[in-house]
Amino acid sequence: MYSQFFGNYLLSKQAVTTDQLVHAIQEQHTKHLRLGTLAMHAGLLTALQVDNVVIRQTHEDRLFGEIAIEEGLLTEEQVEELLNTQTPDYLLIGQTLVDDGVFTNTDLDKYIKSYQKENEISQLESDKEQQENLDALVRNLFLITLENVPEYVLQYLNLLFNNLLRFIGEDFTPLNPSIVSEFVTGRCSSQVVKGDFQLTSYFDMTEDAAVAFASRYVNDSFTEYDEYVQASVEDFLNLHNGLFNVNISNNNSEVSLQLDPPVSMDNTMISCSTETILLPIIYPFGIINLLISISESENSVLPETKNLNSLESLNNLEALMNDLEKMS
Amino acid sequence: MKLEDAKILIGDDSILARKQLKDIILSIGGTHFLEASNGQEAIDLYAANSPDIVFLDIVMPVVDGNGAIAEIMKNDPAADIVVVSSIGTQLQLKQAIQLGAKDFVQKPLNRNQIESILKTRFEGR
Repeated sequence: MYSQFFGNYLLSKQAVTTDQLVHAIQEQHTKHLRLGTLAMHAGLLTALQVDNVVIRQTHEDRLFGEIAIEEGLLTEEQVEELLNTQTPDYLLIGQTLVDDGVFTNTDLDKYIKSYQKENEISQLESDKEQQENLDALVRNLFLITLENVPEYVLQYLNLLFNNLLRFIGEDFTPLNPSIVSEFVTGRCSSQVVKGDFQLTSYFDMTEDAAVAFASRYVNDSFTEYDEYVQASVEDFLNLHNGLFNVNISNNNSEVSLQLDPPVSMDNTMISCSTETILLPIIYPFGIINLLISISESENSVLPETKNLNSLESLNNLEALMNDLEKMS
Repeated sequence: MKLEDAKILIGDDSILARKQLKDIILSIGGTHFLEASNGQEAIDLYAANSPDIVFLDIVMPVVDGNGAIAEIMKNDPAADIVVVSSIGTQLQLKQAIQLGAKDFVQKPLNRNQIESILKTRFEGR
């Protein structure tokens, strides 16, 4: 699940441009991981060895595995094992960038190792470890460009990435966040979460991206932008903000938040009077521009507690529903 | 009363949510629908049509679900209102039940839940 952040890591290291990354993300679905990439990732072959086998493949039409076995680089068992192991999906984006000539196998090897090391990602992880890593990745994402991001904004994004993974698909990459003072929307839905602090989020995308987003979200196949597509995007925003409220109030009973209905902000110039973060998120079908405006009331009680993942919040919600069941 | 004869009022600002609920109720046997896209429309449609059951979203523009429940219950204390709540609106949901809502369902909607709510109130086909 770390492909989302590997792309962002490459951006932060200036190993790729945004355009190169977007292109590779859109292209990667047509590709499969190759044995050479897998062997390099497993530490069985060096980048140079992989390149040499690939060069030999240009002279004779044979499989990578056959050549590697013949040259004594890999055993048959190793090849078998590589083909059957689960691999991190960020390898594919890396391999696509190598294919596009953005960098070499040697570079890829180096970036993967430093990415894993800097983010303490190991090959085998429990769900809990994955969650903790996601927390760290979200934090790093913001440290690059912003200072003093409130804790609840990080929680908000953490939950958003989880919800995108669960409801839309894992093939997204967040670009670097920035602070904006105004923004011109295309198709845009917005919702206010208010209470001890106020957070307004905007989901902005093109019509085509909205059609694809809605199709994935409600498992339907919309063909053109209409009121159902718009309602689907609003429904996702409403669900996500609702889960955020549940998380916040589970973490801190002092804080109570309410939701306003989602509203359409199509083709509008949003002028931001309070601090507003712009975070573009790339999917193969298009870019979602997420804007978050925050303002705090003076006596705000800000949550400084553990992050719940969305599954935990759903469980907590069930308990709440049982209580309500008894009331009604 | 038979479900096919029942007047069913659905109040939700999302056209998608109204369609999803309507599709479920249609598949169970309901046929007469009234649709409101905000709390005020729900109040007005209730007054004009006296529906047999009302499904109401909480978070709605103009007048929210709880505002509508209060007004409908004031005019008709026997009103049968089921709250359809989104996740994260628990405070408002508690309030809705205190205001007189008889039942609630949680989005995303579950066909079985809707069916059991309708079965306790109406005869099937």
